[in-house]
Amino acid sequence: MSDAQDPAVGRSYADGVLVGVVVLAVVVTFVGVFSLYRRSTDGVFATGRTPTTPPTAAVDPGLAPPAAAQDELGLVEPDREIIVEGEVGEQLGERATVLQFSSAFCAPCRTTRVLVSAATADLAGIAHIELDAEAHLDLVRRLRIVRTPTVLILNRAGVVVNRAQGVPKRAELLAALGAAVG
Amino acid sequence: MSSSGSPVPVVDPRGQRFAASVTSVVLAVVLVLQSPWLLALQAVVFALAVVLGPGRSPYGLVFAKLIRPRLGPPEHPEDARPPRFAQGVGLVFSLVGLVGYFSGLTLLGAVATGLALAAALLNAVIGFCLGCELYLLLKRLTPARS
Repeated sequence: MSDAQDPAVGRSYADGVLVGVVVLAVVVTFVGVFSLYRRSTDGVFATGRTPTTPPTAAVDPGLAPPAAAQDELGLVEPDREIIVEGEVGEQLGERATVLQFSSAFCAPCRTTRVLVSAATADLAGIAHIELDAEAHLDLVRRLRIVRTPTVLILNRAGVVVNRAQGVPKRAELLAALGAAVG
Repeated sequence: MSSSGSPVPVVDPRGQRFAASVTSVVLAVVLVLQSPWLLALQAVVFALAVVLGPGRSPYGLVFAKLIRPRLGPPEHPEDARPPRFAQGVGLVFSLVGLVGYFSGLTLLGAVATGLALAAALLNAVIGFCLGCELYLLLKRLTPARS
């Protein structure tokens, strides 16, 4: 218990209050900035990105293409990754595929599943595949997935042509699919 | 208690946002007043949420008794497991904070409390679940198995 007569104790309490106020200010500032950033990027596809043309050479499933360099978030560099059916255990769509990475501890993943299913239900040749990120860590690393849900758009050759992190916006999802189908 | 056969426990997401808001205010007061005992109370709340489920934690009960009757039932109840996990993350931060404050390492106490506050505030403001996001990143760091 503190002794009010001891000036050192009083000073250390005052120092502690100062530390607390500084930490509080830093946290509030960080949360504010991060929230604005999140609001502006969540569920947004990289619009205006031209789909990459699939290479004509056959892809060896054992040989993952080299990961696009440096950009850990996958926001700047266009994806040139190719997904083959063996990696996802389900048939890719004839025209395009929505590949969703989810995890158990993820409330928005369910929202995303419902939204993507509803958006693609009436579209012929569009597959919706949902993978548990935890069960596909090699793929998660290769594709530089950092959050769930992450939604990838694959063209008919399995090339990743677009992606969005967070719950995608329906109109953008359909536009991205339209671009992928070409 | 849910076994693998029973339906998934659900929670009212609005109750979670409410609980995160109350938690944020409590932790901010802890920081400014240097009050380890208040932090200990918050740690108990976190622990109850982990053990009983977020809907039956003290804040969850306040929401259910006083606020939900005015709002009506939730549109989409959510899986209770992610918020429960998140409360566990909050519990870990606040326990580290308690160790800091009670051992005289005020800076450790303040930083750990600040981290718990950041997580709660993010949840209150944009529904962001820090524990859920860290989970995959930590998994990614584990060595790749061939």
